[in-house]
Amino acid sequence: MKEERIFKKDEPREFMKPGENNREDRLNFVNFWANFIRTHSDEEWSRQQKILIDSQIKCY
Amino acid sequence: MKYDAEKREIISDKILNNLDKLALSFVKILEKHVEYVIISGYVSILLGRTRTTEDIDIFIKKISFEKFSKLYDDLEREGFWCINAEKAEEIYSYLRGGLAVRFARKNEAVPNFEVKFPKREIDEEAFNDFIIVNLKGEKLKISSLERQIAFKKYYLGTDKDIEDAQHVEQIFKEKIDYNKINKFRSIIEGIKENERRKNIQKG
Repeated sequence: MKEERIFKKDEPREFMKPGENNREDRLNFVNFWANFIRTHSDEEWSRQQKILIDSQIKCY
Repeated sequence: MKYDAEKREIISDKILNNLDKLALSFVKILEKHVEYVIISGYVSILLGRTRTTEDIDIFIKKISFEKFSKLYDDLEREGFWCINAEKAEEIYSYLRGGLAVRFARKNEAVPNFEVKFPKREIDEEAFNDFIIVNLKGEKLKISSLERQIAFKKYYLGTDKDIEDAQHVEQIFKEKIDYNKINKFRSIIEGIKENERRKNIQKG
């Protein structure tokens, strides 16, 4: 299977700021992931989402 | 993903997951019989949120029993069942009574589709400002982003809902109409105040 790089080599990496508590940390991740979606192709982010969802939902 | 706010269309080239495929197969049957709009959590998931859900919430326009009966026959024929009741009359009476009914794949309970008639004027209006999500030619109708954000943030308000709203807001931040969100917010605050008063009267 073709291995895809999560972060593009030639672009400066965006870092997620750790939250002071669980709630803040989760919201920081939401912002980080939204930025990932904005800066990557639909194919790239949805491939990761598909792994998560298809591991829990088998039928369609 | 590209969002054209004027056309009310989002073009997405995402790789479909099993939840997206299930939603598309349900909606293909639904839209033959009734207007629909998908609301709440699945909207955020469709637009990329990293979580799944046990149910997909859908408003359908109020329809007659005869029309509902045909829809139900079609759903059964295509492999869905209702987990609230078996007879069409009973399922329809729930809907008419303002309750939601759930449909899942036969012999399964999750994930399911929570289908309801809109009860409030603000819910009826979801049919006027929906957005089409175009998934390489296959289409889903979702509630407007402003409606989604406002209801999640100001009506539902759990951590999960706030994260769902934040996700949508962050992705489309340049195209969100914040005046619209504020209008929804003031309507929602009125609804919540009425609900609070009713609860006090109940007791």
